[in-house]
Amino acid sequence: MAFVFWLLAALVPCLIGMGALRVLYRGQALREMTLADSILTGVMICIGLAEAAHLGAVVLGWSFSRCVLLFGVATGAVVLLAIGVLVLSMLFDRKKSKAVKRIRPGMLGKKGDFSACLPIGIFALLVLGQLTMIWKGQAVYVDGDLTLETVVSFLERDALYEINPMTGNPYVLGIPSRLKILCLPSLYGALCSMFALEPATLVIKMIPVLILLGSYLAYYTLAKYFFPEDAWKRGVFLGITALLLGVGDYLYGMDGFGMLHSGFRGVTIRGAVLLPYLFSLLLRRKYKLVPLCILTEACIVWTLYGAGACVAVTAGMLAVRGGYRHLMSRMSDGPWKNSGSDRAEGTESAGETGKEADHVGTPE
Amino acid sequence: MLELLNNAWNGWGNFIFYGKYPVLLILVLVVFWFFSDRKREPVLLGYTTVMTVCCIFPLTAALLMLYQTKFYDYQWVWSYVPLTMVAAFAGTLVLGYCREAADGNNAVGDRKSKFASRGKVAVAALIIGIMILMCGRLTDPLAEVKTEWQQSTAARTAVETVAEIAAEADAQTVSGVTESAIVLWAPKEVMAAARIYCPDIQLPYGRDLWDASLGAYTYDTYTEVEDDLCQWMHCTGVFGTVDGYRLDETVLEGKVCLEQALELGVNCIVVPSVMTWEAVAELTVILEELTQVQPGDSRVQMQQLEAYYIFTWN
Repeated sequence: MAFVFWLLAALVPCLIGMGALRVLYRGQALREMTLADSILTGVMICIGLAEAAHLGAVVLGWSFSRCVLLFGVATGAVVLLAIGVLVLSMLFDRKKSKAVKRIRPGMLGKKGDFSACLPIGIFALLVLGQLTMIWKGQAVYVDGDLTLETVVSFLERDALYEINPMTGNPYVLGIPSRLKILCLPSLYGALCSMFALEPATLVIKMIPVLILLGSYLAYYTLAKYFFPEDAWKRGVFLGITALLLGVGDYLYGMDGFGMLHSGFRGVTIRGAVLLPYLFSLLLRRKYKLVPLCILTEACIVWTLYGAGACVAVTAGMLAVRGGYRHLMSRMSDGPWKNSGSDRAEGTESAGETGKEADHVGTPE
Repeated sequence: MLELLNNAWNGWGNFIFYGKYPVLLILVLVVFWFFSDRKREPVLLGYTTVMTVCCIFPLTAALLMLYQTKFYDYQWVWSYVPLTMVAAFAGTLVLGYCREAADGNNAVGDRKSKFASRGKVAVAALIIGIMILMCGRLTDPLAEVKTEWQQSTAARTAVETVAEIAAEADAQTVSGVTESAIVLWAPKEVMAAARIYCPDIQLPYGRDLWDASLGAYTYDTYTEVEDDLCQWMHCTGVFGTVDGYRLDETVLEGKVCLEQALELGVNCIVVPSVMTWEAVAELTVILEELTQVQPGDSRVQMQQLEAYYIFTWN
């Protein structure tokens, strides 16, 4: 069943994400989306589905097996819907015979250019080392976290938050509601239940592996944005990122620490996947997916009534962008009229200057 | 708010004590703003600079901590700063410039100069790699991540043995159904493993007793009795004696602790094998005295594992 899990873990988010992106974006904006975007969008939608099933069980008092069933049915339905959307859009695209097909350079860049092989090879080696470290499961940091015990208690009692996962005894006073609504234990429990996996294996090994790969997908979207035409630089960017994360696990709270030692936590998913991807979306001005990041964070991390790091980052980036535009317009009107023109970012004038326009992406 | 300010004040010092990534980021930002003639990604750099300053200054850092519900420590305010991304971006730009310079030399130079140009890129990459290594961790991660998880092999064996003993006891009963579940009292790592590998086993207290950061996950609290039991069990692992000590160094009598444990429903005790034979014998006598229904009854069974002694009774 583990093989089926790995297969579906790659396939289901990919299909759902591709379908969702087809619905959300059209034309050039859709063509700018990569497979990494599809997978990450799909993962966020899957977390949303898990949250819906989890909330149903918590509010209506359903058994955990019913929650799992609901999650499975909802995911299956969304996958079918996504396949339907993809088939329809393919049929629609075929009719448009005049549509221009854009050939994207692959990960290794242009044909015959092997200069990117070295940095990508180093990156692959670093990731392999990190995957091995996670899979050995010896350096796991569980202090301040009870995800695994909660998953085990859900599966054992077939109920949500009926017993204290720390002791196995019924709660006396209960747990805070804002913790109760977080869906990760239900999601992990559902995966254990559906694929007959041992909770410790799934939570300590499999999920951190997926989060590590998801994180590099998010960083890949950034690499693609920063260096759209240079595969060598993309490889170097990913290689340096892998090195920074690999040796940056010196303190609890660092991105590398979370990824390598506690990849199953909500805060790790936020720091390693959601925030890099959010930065990528904000830099590319793909704003439609930003609310999805914010909602996903609210489903997995204790936030201030839904306002977490994603909201703060979005507000901060938009404020700085607004301030920068204002400054540029003031400078273009004032005595520095020409000095700042080459630095314009995301402005209408920049959109007309060829490379900058490509770099910034198609605004929504 | 004062506590938050204090945390924020001390947070920065602690944050850069173990590793120097924030220092690396500040270096990158300084280079970008003051020594780079082509400022790429001004919005990203502007945002990173503002947030870095906010995270360093105690008042703004305290406000950020307030925003993140006071639940998270100081280091989590650095989530708002795209440290990894900006550092990797800067490193890539530096290597990119070196490569472009090398390519320029290659176009005009001979084979020897081409080799030297490529060598410069390799040296730049090496310097960046060394800088990252020196700012990050240079030690074995296992040494940093010390939790009871590392001892889980022995602990898991102990827990599984307890479960087997309970299953055998079940099989010997007439109905085959136990009247009550196993309530285990054991060292921390065994109790932690019990709730993961054998969830049928109940505990008088859980990991949230000794891991204070788990306190926010439930409104339930523990009494002094559970705290005493936890400290007694810790002392058996350290001193190997029946009597232990509280944190204030007052004596915890073994018999009193065992009585309290039995009142909490404990029916299985696991102690570390560092206990001396005399202490084990004394513990057995006390347990027999406390559990006997009639004078002369001996209901206590002891099983020795590599790392633990298991005491059970029915």
